[in-house]
Amino acid sequence: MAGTLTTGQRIWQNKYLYLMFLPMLVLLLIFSYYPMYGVQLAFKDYNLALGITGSPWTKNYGINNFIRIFKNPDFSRAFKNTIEISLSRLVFEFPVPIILALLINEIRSSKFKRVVQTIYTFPHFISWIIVYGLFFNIFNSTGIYNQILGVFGLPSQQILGDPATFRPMLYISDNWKEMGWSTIIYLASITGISPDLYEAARIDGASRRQLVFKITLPCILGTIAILFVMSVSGLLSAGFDQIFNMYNAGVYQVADILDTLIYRMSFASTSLGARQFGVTTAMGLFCSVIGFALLMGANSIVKKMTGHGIY
Amino acid sequence: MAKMKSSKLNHATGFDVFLYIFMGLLAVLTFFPFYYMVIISFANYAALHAQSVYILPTVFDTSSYDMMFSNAAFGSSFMVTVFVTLVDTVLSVIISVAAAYPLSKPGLPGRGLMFNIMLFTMFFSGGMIPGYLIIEQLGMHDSIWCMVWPCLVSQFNVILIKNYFEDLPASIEESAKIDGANDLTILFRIVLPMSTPIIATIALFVAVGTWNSYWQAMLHIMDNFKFPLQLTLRNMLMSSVNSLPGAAQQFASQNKKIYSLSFQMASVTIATVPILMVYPFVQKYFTKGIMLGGVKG
Repeated sequence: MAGTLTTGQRIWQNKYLYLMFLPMLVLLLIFSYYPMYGVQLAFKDYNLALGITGSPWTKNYGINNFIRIFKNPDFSRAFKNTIEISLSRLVFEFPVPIILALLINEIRSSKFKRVVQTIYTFPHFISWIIVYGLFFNIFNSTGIYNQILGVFGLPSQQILGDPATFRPMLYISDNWKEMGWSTIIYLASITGISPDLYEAARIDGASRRQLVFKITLPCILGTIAILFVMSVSGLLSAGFDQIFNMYNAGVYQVADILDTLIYRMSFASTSLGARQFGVTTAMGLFCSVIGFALLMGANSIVKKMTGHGIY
Repeated sequence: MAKMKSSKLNHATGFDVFLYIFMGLLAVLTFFPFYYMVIISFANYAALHAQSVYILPTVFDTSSYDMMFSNAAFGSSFMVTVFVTLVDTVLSVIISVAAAYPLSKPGLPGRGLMFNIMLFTMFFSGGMIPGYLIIEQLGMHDSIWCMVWPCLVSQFNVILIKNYFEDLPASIEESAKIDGANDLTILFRIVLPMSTPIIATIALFVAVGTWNSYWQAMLHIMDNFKFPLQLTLRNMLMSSVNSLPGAAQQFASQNKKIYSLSFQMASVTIATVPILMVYPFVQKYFTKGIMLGGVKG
C-alpha cells in the first residue's frame, strides 16, 4: 500500500513524527550549529562592540591567530600535557573496567555481586567538584592520609599540590569515580554471550581461566573496540571537568591541558579587553578538528582489525 | 546464567576466597571517602586532635550544619538547583522522547538525515567561545535560564530511547494504526506505557546531570544568589586552597582551618545526600535501561 504513495504523500502522512523531532532540531540549530558558524571567530580579531560577524579578519590572510598559538609556549606545554595525560589514561584507566567486569562475572553469590556493584557505581553520580572535596578532605595536611603518615613518623605530603603526584591522583580519582559505571556496559555484553559456548568448552575440559580468556574476552572484543574508538577520539580533551576542579597554579606544569588553558585565557581575566576570544576560538577549533580526525582514523583502523566500529 | 549454575557444582577454590576478599576490600575503599566526609562534617577541632588517626567518630557536633542552614546564599543556591533540576528533567525527557520516536520508525523518509544531523553534534562542536557568545547574545546573561535551554539536548539519551523503542513489538502499533489511531495516540496510549524503565533511566540521568552542573552558571551568572549549589560549593572549596597560607601562618590558624573543613564537608554532604537517596530506587531501572538500550550500540 505504502509503495503506491509518492514521497510527498508519505511525508504528509507522517507529519506528526516530523513535528515531534522539531524541538530537538531547533535546540541543535541554536546551541550546536550556530556556534559552528561562530567558529569564523578563529580567523578574526574579536571586538566586543562589533560582535562575531562584524569583527575584522586578522592579518596574514586570517590565520594570524593560529600563528600566535604556535608561538605561545603555554600552548605547546598544554598540548604536550594533553597528549601525555590522555595516553596515560588509555594505559591506566581504559583496561580497569574490563578487568573489573571479568572479576565481577566470576562472583558466584548474586547477592554479593549486587552489593559490590551498587557501591562501585555510586561515585559516577557525584560531580567532580564533590570528588575534589572528598579527596581534599582525605589528603590535606590534617586529613587522614597525613595523620597515618604521622603515626609512622613520616613527613606530611601535599599530594594534590605536588607536580610529582598530581597526575597519578588524576588516574586514581577517575578510576574511583568511573570504573563501576564503565563496567556496566561490559557486563551487559558478557550477559549476551551464549551459554552453549561455555557448556561445550566445559565438556571439552576447559579450566575456569581458559573460559575467561578463550570465550568471555573474545566475545566482548566488539564492545572493547567501540569504547576504545570513543576514548581515542577524546585524546585532545583529556578530562577537562576533572582537571579544572582538581588543579591549582602549583601544578600547571604537569596539569594544564588545552581546555583549561582556553578557559583561563578567555575568562580568568575580569577585564573584557584582555579576553583573547579570537585566539582561544582558534585553539578550540584546532582541538575539534583533530578530535574529529582521530575519531575517523581510529574507527577505520579498529573496523579493519576487528570488524566492529561505531558506524 | 547457565554458567553460574553449573559452576556452583564445583567447590569454592582459593581463587574464590581471594576474589571475595579483593572485591570486598575494593568496595570498602570505594565507600570510604563518603564515610570520611560524614564523620568530618560532624567533627570539631578538639575531637580531631584528641586522636592521632581520626577514623571512628567520637563527637556528633552539628554546628557546621547549623551554620550551613543559616547561610542565606547556600539556601538560595539549594532552591535554584532544585528548580533548575525539576524544569530540566521534565523538558529534557519530553524533548528526548519526542525526538527518539520518529528516529525509531524504519520507513520514515529522511530518518537517516535527521539522525546524522544529531549524531554529528556529538563529535564536532564549535568550541567554548562561540557557544558562550551565543548564549550571551540570546539574553541569558545573569539569568537562571542559561542553565536550562542550552542543557536540554542529550544525543546519548535519545539514542538509548530510540534503541528501546525499536525493540518494542511492532505488531501492536500496526494493529492500532489499522484501527485508525494516529502517531500521537500510539505514542501516548501504547508506546509510553511500555517504556517506563527507559524513561525512569533517562529522567535519572538528566536529574543527576543537572544537579551536578555548574559550567553555564559559572560563565554567565554574576549574582551570588542565582548560583546553583555546585558553584557555591566550588567557591567554598577553592577559597581555602587559593589562600593556602605559609607553614607558620597555617599553624597559627589551624583551629579555624579544621573548622572550615568540617563546614565544607557539611555542605558537600548536603549536596550528596539527595543523590544517595534516589540512587537505590532507580538503580534497578538504569541497569535494565542501559542493557536494553545500549547493547545494540
